[in-house]
Amino acid sequence: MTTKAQKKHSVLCIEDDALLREILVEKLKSSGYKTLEASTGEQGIEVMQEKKPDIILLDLILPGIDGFEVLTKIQNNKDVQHIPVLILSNFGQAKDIKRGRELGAQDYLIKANLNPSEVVRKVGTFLSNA
Amino acid sequence: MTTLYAISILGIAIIGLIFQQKRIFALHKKVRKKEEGVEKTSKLLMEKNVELLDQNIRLQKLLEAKEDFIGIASHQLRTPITEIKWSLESILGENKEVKTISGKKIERLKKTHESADKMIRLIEDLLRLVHSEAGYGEYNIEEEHNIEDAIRNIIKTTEKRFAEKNIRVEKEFTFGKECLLIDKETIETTISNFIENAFNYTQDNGLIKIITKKTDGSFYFEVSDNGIGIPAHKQRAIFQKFQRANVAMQMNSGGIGLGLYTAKNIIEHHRGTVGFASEEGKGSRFYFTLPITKKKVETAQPPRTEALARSL
Repeated sequence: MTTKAQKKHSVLCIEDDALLREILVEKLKSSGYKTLEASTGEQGIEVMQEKKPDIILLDLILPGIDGFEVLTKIQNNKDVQHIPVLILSNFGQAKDIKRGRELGAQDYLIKANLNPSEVVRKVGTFLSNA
Repeated sequence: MTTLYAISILGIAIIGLIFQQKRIFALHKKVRKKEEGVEKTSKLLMEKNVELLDQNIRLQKLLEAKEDFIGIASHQLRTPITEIKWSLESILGENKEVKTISGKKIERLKKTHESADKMIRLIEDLLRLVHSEAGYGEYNIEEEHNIEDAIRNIIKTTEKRFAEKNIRVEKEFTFGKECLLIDKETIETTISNFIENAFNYTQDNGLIKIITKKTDGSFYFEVSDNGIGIPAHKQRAIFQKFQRANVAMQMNSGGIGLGLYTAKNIIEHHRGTVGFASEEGKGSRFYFTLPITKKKVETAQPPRTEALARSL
């Protein structure tokens, strides 16, 4: 499963649920990715600005600024606007999905409908197509 | 003589003119009155219009509030279940082949994982129900999809469970590769629901047959089984909300009886038809049809208050 190309990729998880973040990061690491973590939107922006990850997994309901605001900030920031963002949230109504996509998210994943391994596979497919 | 003649003609003409003038005046008066009436009515109509607009805005706000509430509630419901599901996967491993825990305990963890998935499906069902009743169809009918491939994929995910109950699955797919303009997610939900029902209501060593074909220019999908069947007196209400045959209740299949109701809503939204035939103790046959619609053909959307308010 793990290829050399994957090893180089780094994934930033912006997720305030510590348990979910931990499980996801663990799965990403065991699949050969470098991982970066943030538990708030503000922290996420700081980390991406500094470390320039290859892809971002973004939760929507966050303390402080929410995921939609993070997306807007990414869009308006030349340093990071090229980084693909996958929304990973349990907030999943049609209008949220539409709004997320309009704000530049590449995909919208509903956490409850996926296993962590499926999330990691989506990341992999996305990076290999990018 | 001639002057007298001329004068009398002039006189008649003047009298005629005066009468004409009077008539015109009277007509004017009538028109004015009518105009006043029209003005009054249009003023009233305008007032009513403003009232209606106001009500519409309020109604829309209410719907939005409801929508927001559903969104938040579903998020709150999904989150703890996601924690359970993800934790279980991290313990059991992707293929549920854990080595450090043994025997019965693994089975219990697997069961818990299945229960979490079941719970997630129930939340989806409930959400869809609330949405469809609010007139908010969560449908995205913009792309064409290969429906047979979708069915094959769904069957693949159930194969293991079928094997565990030693249920044989026969496939008779003759529809082919043609793509349909459908909302993939909801149609997949319906297909899963039919297959899931067949699985739940068929005993060990049973037989399930899945058919796709083209009939009368429509796509036809059928799942039949030789399971417990539905008693005759329960058949009339089968597509209604919260209807589940007693026998099914006893088999503890875990649903809350929204599956077929939801399925019917979904198929009818796609302008298709649903139906079934069943005999208690012998089995059931559930089917649906979908019109073969292609891209760029307009599809029916449920009326939206938003659009209504905008058009006023």
